[in-house]
Amino acid sequence: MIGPEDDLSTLIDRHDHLNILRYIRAHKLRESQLVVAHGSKLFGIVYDENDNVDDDDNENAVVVNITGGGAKSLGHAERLAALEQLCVASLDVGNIRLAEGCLAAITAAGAGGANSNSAPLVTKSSTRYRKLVGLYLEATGDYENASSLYRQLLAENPSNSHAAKRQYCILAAQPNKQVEAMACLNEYLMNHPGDAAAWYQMYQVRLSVCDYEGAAYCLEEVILACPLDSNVHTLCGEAYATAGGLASTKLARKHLALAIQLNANNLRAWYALLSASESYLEEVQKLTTSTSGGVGKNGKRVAEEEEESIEVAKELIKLAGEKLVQVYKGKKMMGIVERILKESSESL
Amino acid sequence: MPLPHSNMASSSISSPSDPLVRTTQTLLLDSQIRDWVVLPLLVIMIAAGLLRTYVGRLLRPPPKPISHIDARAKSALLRISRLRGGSGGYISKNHWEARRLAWSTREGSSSNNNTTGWLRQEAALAESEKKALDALQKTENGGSNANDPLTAAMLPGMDPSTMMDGMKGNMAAMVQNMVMMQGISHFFRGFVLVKVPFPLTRGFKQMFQRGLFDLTTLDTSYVSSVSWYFLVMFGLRAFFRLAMGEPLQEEVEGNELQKELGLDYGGPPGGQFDAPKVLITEADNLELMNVRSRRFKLEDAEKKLLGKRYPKKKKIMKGSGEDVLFGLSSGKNKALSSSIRNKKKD
Repeated sequence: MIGPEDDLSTLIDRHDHLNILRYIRAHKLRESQLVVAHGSKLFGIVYDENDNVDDDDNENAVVVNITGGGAKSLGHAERLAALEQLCVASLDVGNIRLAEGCLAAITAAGAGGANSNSAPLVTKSSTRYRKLVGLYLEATGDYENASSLYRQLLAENPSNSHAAKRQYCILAAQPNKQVEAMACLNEYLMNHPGDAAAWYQMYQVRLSVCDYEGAAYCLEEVILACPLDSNVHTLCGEAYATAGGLASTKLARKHLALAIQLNANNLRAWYALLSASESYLEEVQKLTTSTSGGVGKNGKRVAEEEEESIEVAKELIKLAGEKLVQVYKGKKMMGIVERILKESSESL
Repeated sequence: MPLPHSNMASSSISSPSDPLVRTTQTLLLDSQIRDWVVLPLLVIMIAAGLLRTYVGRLLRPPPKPISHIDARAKSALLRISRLRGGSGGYISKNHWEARRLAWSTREGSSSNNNTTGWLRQEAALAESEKKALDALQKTENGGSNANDPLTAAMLPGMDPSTMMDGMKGNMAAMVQNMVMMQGISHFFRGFVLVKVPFPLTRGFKQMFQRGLFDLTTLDTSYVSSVSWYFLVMFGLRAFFRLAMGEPLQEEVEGNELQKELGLDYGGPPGGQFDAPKVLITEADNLELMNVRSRRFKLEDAEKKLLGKRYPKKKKIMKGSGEDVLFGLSSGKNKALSSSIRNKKKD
């Protein structure tokens, strides 16, 4: 297995800074605060966030500390990986100066120290380094330069999926470029149809333009990638329920039921199940009553076909109601929940 | 193992005409053989193994960019494998089937409004882009070495430089093995080095006594020098793994990151990824899949959630009313239930 075998809390207790960073990397966690805290300690950086007066001084201090700091026992690979991680994390928490220090330290690695004549390990033309520079430019709000950097990376190697992703992100971050962002995401998904995270992004875009069926389609792609995630099933059920229609509401119920099976304490799914079952009953009622004047036959057929499903929906409403009451019993929210449940019990 | 305290060389073999005596009598091996052949061989092998790994690491080619077409095709394959795998059961049955059809239909089939499936479109796209790339390469090469018979004879899509890269890593090992084999059989030929502490059948003679073919009567548990070389060569693999340790976490992560940046160390040598072909195969496989043979967890999620409260059962117990699912005539049902009733009466 990759990464340290202890869990994060033991490592933190032991002040094993390097292994904390490695653990976070191996498990792909987004713990930027932790990374900045322990990364700074690893490299012996004393960083005062309130010290904005002598900007240049502080920056220099960071650089000097990183190259000379107490991390001499690290191998080059470990050191560079830790610096890279620290750089990304510091950008994530908005600590631009620390990121600058990291970038400088990365290019100085190997060149610095006793024999400054040796060539640096990381050149400025390295793709991995330029990826960090791109992130840095984005964080400083310099979208123009970041975008041109990514364009250059893509021209060098069109299958650089990271650059393609960041280009979408740059567009999505600008409020006046939403249409271009959507086109960019579309293009990305054409080239990377197996990227579940991109499908999830597409779901959010579809949701923002009220295309609920499309949103549900995207979520189904996400479900195919991580089928046991209760939350994705919940979202999918919600998308179908919002899309409306007899078939969609029925499908929504199924997804929500599955979400609850995967995580019985998913309260959002319980509420959604309640709501979806209700709207399903409403759909049935609409079909049976509206056609009763003209084509009564159709309404009757629907009623007959859906007879069993209606029973199921009613049972689901009851079950969800019982669960919610059980959860909220004796809590302050109980009054509100009871009111909601009363409304839905009218449709039974 | 070589037996010490003996200055007798391998001359003390019993008479070959007496097989019974031969199996019981032990051969005394000179301790000089141990000191000057067995141990040096072991040391040479370990040193050579270390040398090989480090030279191989030096000779490893830098990561190459993955072709745009291949990356796209691989991503598509990932998407298909999800649909085909177990996670396909977590979306609705109809939607699964719709995806299967939309991805795999052939041109001209009636089921999908005569449009080609997504995968087949992708395959066609990959094919055309590959052809365009080849044509581009040809025109580029055309200026410099149009008359080169080697490039002319090359199959399309085969790049000589990529073929070389795959071999480079193996080259060090191959050359080294050849040289070592020659050296060992030149310097240490004809020694009986070691006796394994258990009897073996004659079938192992080929394996253990390579280079000693003249001694047909020698017990099989004695090992010759060339065979000792082979045994050590394969036996040391686990030792090297232990000695050199597992690759650093940072290295493994670096390789993953390279992939994200669209770079890759070439796969196994000779394993060329042929995007259009693979995509077509996948489409054909998908076409042959059947909804009915799959289980959809989503379809009976409600039933599982409700458990005993699922109302369908109640209905069957009642046995009244029409069969809503299939619209069958109720007459049969009544006949059935009445027959059950009759049986009960009996």
